[in-house]
Amino acid sequence: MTTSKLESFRYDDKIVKFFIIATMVWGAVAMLLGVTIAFQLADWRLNLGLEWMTFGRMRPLHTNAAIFAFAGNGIFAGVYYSMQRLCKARLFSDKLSRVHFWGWQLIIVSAAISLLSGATTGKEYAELEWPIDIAITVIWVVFAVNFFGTLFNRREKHIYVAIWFYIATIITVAVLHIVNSLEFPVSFMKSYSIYAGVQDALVQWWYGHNAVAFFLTTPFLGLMYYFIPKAAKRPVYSYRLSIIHFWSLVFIYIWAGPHHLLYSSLPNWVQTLGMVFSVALWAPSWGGMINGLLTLRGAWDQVRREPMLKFMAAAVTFYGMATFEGPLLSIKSFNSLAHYTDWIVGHVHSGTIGWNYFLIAGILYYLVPQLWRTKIYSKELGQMQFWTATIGLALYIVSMWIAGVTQGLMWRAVEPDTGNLVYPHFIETVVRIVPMYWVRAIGGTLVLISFIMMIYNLYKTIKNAGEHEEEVFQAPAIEKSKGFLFFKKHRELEGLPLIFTILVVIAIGVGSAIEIIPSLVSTKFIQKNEAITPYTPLELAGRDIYIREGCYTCHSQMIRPMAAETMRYGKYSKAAEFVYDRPFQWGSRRIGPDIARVGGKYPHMWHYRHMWDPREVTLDSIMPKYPWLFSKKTDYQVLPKKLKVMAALGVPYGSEQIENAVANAKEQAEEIIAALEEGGVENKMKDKQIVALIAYLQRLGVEGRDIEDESTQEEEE
Amino acid sequence: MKSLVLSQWDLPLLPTIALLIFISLFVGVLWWVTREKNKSTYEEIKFLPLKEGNNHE
Repeated sequence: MTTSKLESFRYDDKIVKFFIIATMVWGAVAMLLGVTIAFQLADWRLNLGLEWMTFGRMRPLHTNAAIFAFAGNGIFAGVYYSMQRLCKARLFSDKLSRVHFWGWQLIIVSAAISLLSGATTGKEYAELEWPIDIAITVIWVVFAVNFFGTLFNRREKHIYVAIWFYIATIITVAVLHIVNSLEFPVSFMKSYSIYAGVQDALVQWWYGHNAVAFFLTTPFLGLMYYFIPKAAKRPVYSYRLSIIHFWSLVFIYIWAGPHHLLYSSLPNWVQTLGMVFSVALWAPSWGGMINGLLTLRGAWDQVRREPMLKFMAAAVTFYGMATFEGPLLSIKSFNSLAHYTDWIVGHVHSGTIGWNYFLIAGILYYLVPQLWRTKIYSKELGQMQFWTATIGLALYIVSMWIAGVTQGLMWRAVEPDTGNLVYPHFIETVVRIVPMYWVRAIGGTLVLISFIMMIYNLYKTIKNAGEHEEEVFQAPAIEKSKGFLFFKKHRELEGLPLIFTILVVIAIGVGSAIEIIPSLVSTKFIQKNEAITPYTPLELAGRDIYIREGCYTCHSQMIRPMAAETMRYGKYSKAAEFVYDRPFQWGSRRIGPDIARVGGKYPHMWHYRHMWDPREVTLDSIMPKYPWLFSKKTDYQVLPKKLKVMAALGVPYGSEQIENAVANAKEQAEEIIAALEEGGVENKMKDKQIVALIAYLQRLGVEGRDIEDESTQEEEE
Repeated sequence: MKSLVLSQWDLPLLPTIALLIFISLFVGVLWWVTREKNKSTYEEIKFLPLKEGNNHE
């Protein structure tokens, strides 16, 4: 490669400023939502009896806002700043940058409106409905074109490791989002997943875990490898280690998804594979963490003085702690205690607050004075912010540890003499941990306050900055080569992005293919059973209400094959039971009990009263009231369309069933209302949504109670 | 013990292939980065974040 004369150019820092401001705005919104739902769990009355304010709708908004709005805008700010400087080139297109920025903000606003109004796919961290999914894909492509265009126009022959992490992020997030979001529209804001039951669970958690890996980890590691050396004014400790870190992490991370489904109906070999690779993640994660911390060698006096470096050092430390805890929680025996408890919630927040928020804070404290050519308004306020956030996070994590271990142990406690459960009523285990919910809410509030301190500090910094000219930089151009494609004189390292991208695709493709494809194409693992029939039209309508209200955020539908679980909930769940579940609703947290076999356990009237006011049937329940289910009518007219879409996806609904969907639904509603009338409910309630929901709940797990487990049969034979 | 392990590993072929691919990749990367020939390149690249282009205005 030859170099030529110096070229002058300017960086597009305006777009970085846009993303910085968006990061601050959405960060505050995401944390405010988090604090709100934390208080709702401590006191159910804070749900206010409003449908758009209930925990089930607010919680997905909180997670989406924290991941895609706060962390997302933070990533784009950091990537666009560092990309230009590492490539010594202005961003590929100013127009694409603006489309990217405004498109992403529009997606966030659409997500907020749709989630609060109950438009959700019911799949964690992928709740957004199909029109927004398409918008995300389009904007992500815009980002990718802008990114790779900049890379192509670069004036620096080498591609620094941070850019490797960005490439892995762009490619993998695109693959994950597209594969997991494949759905069949029913209406403008309603769709059904093309996957069902176990397959849906496998694909969803392959996506869900790797959303953490490739949205909250790899881009942040890229930012770490760029901004810590910048801030500490010294190069990365070991560039070699960063390369090993990158390849090991990218290859291993993609396998870890099934650790979210341990002891579920997922094939055992997939669970074990997920566990083994999760444990293997310890090595690259800690390699990266050590590399980040050792970059600060000799700069510890600055860490003491500078809030920017303090946040960065703490972020890397929390990354180390979270990536120690994650593999630990993936070990099957360990997971059997921690899964479905608040321990997981604490673990997640040590990552999103400790790693993501702290690193973003460090980066913003670096970027704002740089971009506005000024000094930080108050380092003292930055120090105060750091300690407020750290104390808040410590309260959060410790309270969730205590709540998680306490509840996990209470669920499995058995009387030594009788073999009965010590706490047979689930509510006993909830009441015990409510004090920890208050501690968590206080901790979360401190984190929010710390964030507001940063906004104030940065606002004052920006306000105090004077006018300044855009800087002009110079770098030698890389000579353009002649020829066409592979026949042209090869510009040696210019070809690397393409080769590199292909290698990344292979690295993530191996794990994805081996784990997912056998379960999608083979009937060996998920055998159908004739005893399991598709949902009736009214049950389907009820199921969609269940999804709309976000019931999966508090209730699981997966009984694990453990004595304490089968004693509490009934026979353990089998893969065949979920073949018509689009989407699956196994859940990930039991704030309330598992309801996989709640069907027939209580009379219709129990459910009716429970949804009106949960305290009427369970005195200390922390569940919100759902009064709107008693006033809103079930949409019967859409049922034929829903059945038709389900039939197109492979559910065995005949044409007669589709034609008679409305009549069948009304007939089943009459049966339910007849039973409710005995309890004094008026007949006019038969068209209300509560009746459809009762139809669905009374169906849960009934057919699966008596079916045999195929794998057990084989062993016995 | 053997049956316990096998019960968790009911499809050994694909995971074994995967582990072999990973080990090959890991050894390959390790060999590549520790080559003496690459040392000077890495020493050059690691300083990239500290260079933003020459500011001439």
